[in-house]
Amino acid sequence: MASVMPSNPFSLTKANDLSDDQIQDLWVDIAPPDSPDSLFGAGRFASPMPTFILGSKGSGKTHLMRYASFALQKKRFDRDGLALLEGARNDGYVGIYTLCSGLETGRFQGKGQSNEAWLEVFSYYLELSLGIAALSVIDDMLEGGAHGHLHPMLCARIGKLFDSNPPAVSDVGALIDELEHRRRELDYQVNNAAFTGELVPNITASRGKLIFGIPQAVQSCSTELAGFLFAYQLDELENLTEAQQKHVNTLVRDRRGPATLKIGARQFGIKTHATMSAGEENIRDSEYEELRLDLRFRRNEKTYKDLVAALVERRLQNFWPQSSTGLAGRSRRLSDWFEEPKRDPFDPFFIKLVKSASSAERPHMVRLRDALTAGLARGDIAGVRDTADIERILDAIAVQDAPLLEKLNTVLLFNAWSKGQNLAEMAASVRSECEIFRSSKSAGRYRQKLDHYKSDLIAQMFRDASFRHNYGGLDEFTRMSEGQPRALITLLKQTFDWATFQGERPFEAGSISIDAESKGALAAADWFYNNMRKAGGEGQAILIAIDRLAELFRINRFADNPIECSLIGFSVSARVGSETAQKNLRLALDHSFLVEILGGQPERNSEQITGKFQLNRMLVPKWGLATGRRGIKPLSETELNAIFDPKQVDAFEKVKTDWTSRMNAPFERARRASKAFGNNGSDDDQNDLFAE
Amino acid sequence: MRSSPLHDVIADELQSKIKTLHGSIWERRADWPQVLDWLDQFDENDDPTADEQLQALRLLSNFMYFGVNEIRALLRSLYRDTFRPQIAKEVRSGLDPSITFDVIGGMVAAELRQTRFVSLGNPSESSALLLYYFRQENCLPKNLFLHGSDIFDLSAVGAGGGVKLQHPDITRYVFIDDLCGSGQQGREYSKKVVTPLKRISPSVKTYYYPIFGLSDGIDHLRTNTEFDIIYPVVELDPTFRAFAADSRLYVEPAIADLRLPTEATCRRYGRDLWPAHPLGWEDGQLYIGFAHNTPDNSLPIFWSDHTGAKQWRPIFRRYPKVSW
Repeated sequence: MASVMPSNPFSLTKANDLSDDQIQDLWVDIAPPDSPDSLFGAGRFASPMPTFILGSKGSGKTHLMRYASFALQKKRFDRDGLALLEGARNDGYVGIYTLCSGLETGRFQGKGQSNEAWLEVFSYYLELSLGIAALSVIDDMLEGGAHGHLHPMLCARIGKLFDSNPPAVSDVGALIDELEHRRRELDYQVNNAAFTGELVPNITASRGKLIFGIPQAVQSCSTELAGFLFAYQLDELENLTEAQQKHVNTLVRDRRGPATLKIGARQFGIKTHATMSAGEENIRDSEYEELRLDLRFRRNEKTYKDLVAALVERRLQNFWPQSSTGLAGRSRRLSDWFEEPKRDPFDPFFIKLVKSASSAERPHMVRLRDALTAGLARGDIAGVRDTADIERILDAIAVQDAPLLEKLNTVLLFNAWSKGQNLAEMAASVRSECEIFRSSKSAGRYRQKLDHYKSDLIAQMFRDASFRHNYGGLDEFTRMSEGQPRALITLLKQTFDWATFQGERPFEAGSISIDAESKGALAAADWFYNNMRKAGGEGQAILIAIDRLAELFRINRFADNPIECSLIGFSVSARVGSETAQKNLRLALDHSFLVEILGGQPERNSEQITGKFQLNRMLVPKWGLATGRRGIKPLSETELNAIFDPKQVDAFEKVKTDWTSRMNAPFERARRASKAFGNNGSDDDQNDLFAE
Repeated sequence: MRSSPLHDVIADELQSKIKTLHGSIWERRADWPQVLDWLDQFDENDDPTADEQLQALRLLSNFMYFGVNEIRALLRSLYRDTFRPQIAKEVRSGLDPSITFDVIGGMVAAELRQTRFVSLGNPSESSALLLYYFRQENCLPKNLFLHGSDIFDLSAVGAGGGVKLQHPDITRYVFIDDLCGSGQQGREYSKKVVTPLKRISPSVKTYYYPIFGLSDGIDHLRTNTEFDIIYPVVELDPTFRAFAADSRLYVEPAIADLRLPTEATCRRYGRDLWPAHPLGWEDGQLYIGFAHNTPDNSLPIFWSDHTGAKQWRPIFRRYPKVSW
């Protein structure tokens, strides 16, 4: 473990930054390794079928792949008292881990050379690199045992894999030296091609010959060296160009012998599945399998929650020993360390939130009174003829000791107003339903409305009181992390920092305050958002689109009559929208600013026409939006273009005006405007959330 | 702290900034409970612009703290970018322009062997600590360092002889300090050490290199002392004085009007803490502190403690020179 204890147990967020020991110690799984339910099992490292391990940034791909690599296998063999060969046979594979970014693939292009030439050079470079990595594992396995005599035979067999100039060596160490020498020469040529104008590599082995030939040669030497696969683990495939990925796809397709490929990549980092084998495309479940990590977590909330709990516990054990020794030692649940936001309508907190004001003086009641008084002058509100009517309505819906219920009542009145219903009758009905709920707390209609709208109601009350919106609790943080363990670690890192700065003792005494959690969530959101600023023009386009989307969601959240509750999602037909809008929507997905909504919906790449998306919940604290998505707003083509095309400034202003007028008293444009914008036949009318 | 929509917006922004500073360059010297405890000594006000706690918090968010790593880096710069080029310049001034770098390098090394780095004041004071870091950071041999009292040879005094130099072959004395504020301390030191030194050996060159120097103080020393070269690594011009008309703390129009009320607040508390110098030694008005100490040129509200005229809880404590 790290020799120096960090001041924050969550300070290390990237698997690339962890040492081998830390990868081992911080690894958590949701099932025993031999179970198909386990993450490790899902990687299918011992299966000859190549696997693409996909996921968004921070979903745990690198941690999984490094955990499965030979460097970590060795540690586990050592721990279990197994010889390397014995361990490899037990595991069924040895993991040969390579980071694609380490190949510096950007060098293999331009410089006055043809694409074809570069592809051949890259192909040979990959042969040498993976060959060296495989031989290093073999060298380790042969060392110290009774297998020394195998070196000359093995080198001779591997020598036959070369088309020319076979290495004249008789032990594996010297063979590695020779391949490294050839790679250095190639490095020199590649790096200097721009100056010399020449690229005359001496390619001594054909594509796949070393990668697949070396494992075959090893296992043909002795039965003792058989019984396991060589799993080439190529991580961060998104760093390869399309042509280079095509080369890797060809290796996947032409895989042979006791070798396979396990490829890690960002979800949208796969540029092609094409191969160089007569233009054939690799087909999922035919040429390869796919493991989508965050999708797996998002599909199974319970699994992810268990994983998160184990992950946090492991961090604390390793980096925060003062937190005592695990759950049993502290005899409290992990979630107990986190203060939860107040959500019980009868919590005295809400009286404090309205500064103990009487019902009539509370901001939401003042807002309703002002709106009705303004409407009175126009004489178009059913059931409201004079100011006395207004006062009767306000009296009817007042709830002195539960301001949150009173707030709900005002929204119910606004909703009735938007539908042209009689407000005097509605006030009486609301009063009656509210009374029943207060006395029985039963799960009726009123309770349902409260549950649906609670987040938005509380957000509005916070805004009226000029309080920062609260985010907190392990459940909410888990939800916000969208199946990305690194996002959760980042949230906890920021929260821990804020808590200690404010003099709290997180995971030692008391609970982390909701204030520290909210500030941590906001800091994590800012970090996530600001990272995109570095992404150049594309990044800017995404930020503009996301800002616009969030602005619309805020209009809904803080409206008199929100048309959707806890709105952070939208749906849109896959066949509509300008090229720019579609491109930016995809970019926002690629960078995880938006995530696809699951829940029974077919995925975006399928034949399904409508795509459903939501803001990444890591971002929502930035705009004070909800983390528990409920509503999904269908977007028209006009709206989609106005949001996702940065140049459509005026059109976006119109959309904003439309949303604002539809959702706020006096609701004049509620239906008229929706017709203007819903010009493609999509369901763009104002929804009635309160309908039976 | 007072909480209101207007107060909270300001306090949140400043708190966030202070958290970043605390977790990074402040070396965790001021967590929020400590800040609140310090702020608690100021008055609150419904009007955020008149709220002394917000005024003090804003000042604190600009406090320039230099930790050990930063001081070490500055000492490297002092040698590499200030002193050594000066010697090279002096060496080259007497040479043919075609002389090679190797030759100049050799001559600089020879000059260096005839140089002594000297701490200012008592060996228990900060200058001695700085010399320790200075030696380590620049890989200099121990024999190039001495204390001020070792410059002179007093062995003949009282036996008919006078004061002599202990090392007559030394051609350069370099005095290193952390901060030159008003320049008064440097001037006193010059009188005690540099003047007699020059009297005995007029050709000896003396250099005064503070890490930080206020422009006024540096000018004062250049005019009133016999140091040959005076050069701070970082010169603090008058805009670094917290309440100067062109103070860099209140450049933004939105907060420019806070300058005078904040000065009045600091002066009011400062009068209780250090009546003779309410805004710091000789009206320093600085907001600077080092890992080893906070200079008295900084505002007393930052550093004054129970040993001052009024009991006070400092945020960046100063360890004063105690007299027995």
